[in-house]
Amino acid sequence: MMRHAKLGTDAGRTGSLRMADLFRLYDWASTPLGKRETWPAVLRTTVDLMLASLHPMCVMWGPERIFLYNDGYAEILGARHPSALGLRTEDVWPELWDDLVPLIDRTFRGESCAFRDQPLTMMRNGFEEQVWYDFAYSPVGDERGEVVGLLNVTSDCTARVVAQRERDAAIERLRASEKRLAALVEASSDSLYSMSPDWQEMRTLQGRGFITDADAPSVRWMDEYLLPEDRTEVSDRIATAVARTEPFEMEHRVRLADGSTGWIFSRAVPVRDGEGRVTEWFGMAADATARHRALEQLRESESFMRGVLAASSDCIKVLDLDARLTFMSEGGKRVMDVSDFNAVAGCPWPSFWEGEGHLAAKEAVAAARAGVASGFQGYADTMKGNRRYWDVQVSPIVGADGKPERILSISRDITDLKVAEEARAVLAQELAHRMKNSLAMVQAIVTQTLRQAKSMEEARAAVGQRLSALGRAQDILTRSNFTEADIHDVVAAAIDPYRVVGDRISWSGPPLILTSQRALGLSLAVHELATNAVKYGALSNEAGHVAMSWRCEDGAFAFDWVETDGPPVVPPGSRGFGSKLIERIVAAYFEGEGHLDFNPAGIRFRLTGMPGSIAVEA
Amino acid sequence: MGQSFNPADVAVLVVEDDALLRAEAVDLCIEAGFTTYEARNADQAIRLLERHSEIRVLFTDIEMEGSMDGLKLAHAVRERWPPVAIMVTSGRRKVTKEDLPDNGLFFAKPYPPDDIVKALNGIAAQVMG
Repeated sequence: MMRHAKLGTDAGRTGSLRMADLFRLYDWASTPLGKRETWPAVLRTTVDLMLASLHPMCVMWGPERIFLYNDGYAEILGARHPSALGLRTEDVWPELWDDLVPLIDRTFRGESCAFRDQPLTMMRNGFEEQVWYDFAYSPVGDERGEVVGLLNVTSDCTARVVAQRERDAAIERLRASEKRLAALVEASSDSLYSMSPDWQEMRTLQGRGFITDADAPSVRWMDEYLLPEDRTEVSDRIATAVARTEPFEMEHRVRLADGSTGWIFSRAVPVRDGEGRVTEWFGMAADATARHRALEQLRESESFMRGVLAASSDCIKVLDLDARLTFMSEGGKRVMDVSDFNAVAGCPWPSFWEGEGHLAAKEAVAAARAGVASGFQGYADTMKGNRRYWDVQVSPIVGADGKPERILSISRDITDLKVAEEARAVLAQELAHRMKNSLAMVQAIVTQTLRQAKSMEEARAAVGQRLSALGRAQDILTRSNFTEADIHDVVAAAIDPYRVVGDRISWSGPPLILTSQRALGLSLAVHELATNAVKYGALSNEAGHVAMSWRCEDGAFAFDWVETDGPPVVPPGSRGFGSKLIERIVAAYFEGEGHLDFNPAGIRFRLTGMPGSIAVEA
Repeated sequence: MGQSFNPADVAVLVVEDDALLRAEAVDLCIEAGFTTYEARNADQAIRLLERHSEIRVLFTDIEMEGSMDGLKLAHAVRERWPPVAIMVTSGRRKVTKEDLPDNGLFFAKPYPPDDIVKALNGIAAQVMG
């Protein structure tokens, strides 16, 4: 107890004392070992060996198993140090004693025992610390060979144990990771392959059904899997990846297991050995065929729709529900003179329309918003200000919910049609007018003829012939849209029914264009003169001649009818419609005068007038 | 007809640019017994009206060259010579009452000669009555 008290009061000091000092200060006489000077040589030697060692050691001596230890072991004892010195071992380690007894006894019987990786919790650094120690129990014999003590040599194997545990954990993690990877690979539908470091040889390939498997290494893998025209590009990409030792990644065409051509997305990474040398390339290839085909179909479909839109010269537009322009087809931009769609994007569409068209456009938009298609026609300027006439169809574009979400407007330029329609209407009106005018002329001719006819027969013949002359003149005018005729054609047509054998009728003069009224008038005049000549004049015998001539000089027009070699002329008792026609009416058409001369040698007629709208042809 | 007036006291001015139609219209009026003047355009017509105060009827075509067409002439005559009766004819246009001066008459070409004669007699009866 005194020893304890002493040590206890010196605890602060003895705690920092070295074991050699403690041994020296210790009251060994109070222990079964007795005074230190009386210790047998083997005990002294063992203690000296122990105290000199840097290894943690302890000694259990004698039948009481007295506990001795060195500085190294003090750390293992923790708070039990320094009071453990000189106690019986069972008092030092009461909690372990039952386990230790058999081992200690075996050692005292001469065996050596070793325990590896024994866990201990230490407070040597002021905090709880998990450590591991190896223990080796060796018997210590006296000179007679009796085992008198036990030397326990320990070593701190914490670092090894920790390293071992970390390695075990790492291995376990690796194993789990490999298991997951294997499951992933198995679950994936991607093709797996491995290549030689230079990619010359394909070592394996699992095709997963879409590419043919390669069971044996092959240097002809390019022939097997690639399309000839793609080989250069793929080879170049491989060469780059190999040269830089960077992952290879490429989407390219491939021969599929069924012989058709498909697409894969292929990615491979280099696998290195411990010295960093590439030993192989490991890759995966995903089947991208369906995506590519879908893309191609989409592209084709888009290109088709674009082509259709671009080819149409209709102006195809899409409006939002507020009637603002959001799209215009290529053809539409062409016909609307739109060079940059941004200039009109977002513009309110009805404002492109003038007058009634503006109202019609607004109504059509309102109808489309209500889900009803409609159409109208109207004028609208192109962006360059060209006024065009459009036929417009406006329809709702219905969304998935069945409600109109946008508006389709298709405008067709029907300006030409409109112009033609208007021209036709004008022409029809003009024809109606001309016809009525002709009827009025016919009425005048018939009434005039009847008014002065001596008999019904004479009237019938005269009316027939005069209308026939009018008809022939109309034929000529028809060629020029009833506006004008050449005087040669007019004269030739008028005289045609009176042509007789031989060159008895002649005419000459410069080419002249006559207005329709003058052409009709001259026709009637020639007809009247010819009829008279056939009845009474130069064409009533076998020898007479008729010569017509005209000229246009010094701003005056003159036409002459000269009969020669006919029977002697007798002036008529009364003037009929014929002479009124040629002297007054035709003269009025030419804004001049007509003079009929009943010269006994032959009838002469001279028509003079203003050139008026008569033009001289070049 | 038992007319209570002498048509020769009533003069008609025929305005028509087509000589043939004018000749026939003139003959028609003369045959009906009216003193008749003729003009081939509005300018001539105005000059004749200025000289001959006995003209009581203007019978004019619409389509004519010159400073005025027949309708303008009709309105001008109504303005300057209100008593002159107006008769208008055209092959081209449908003319309504609104286009004509009050009490103006329209005859589409070709017109029945009797309609003209009846109209002229009616006007003469009013003028003389």
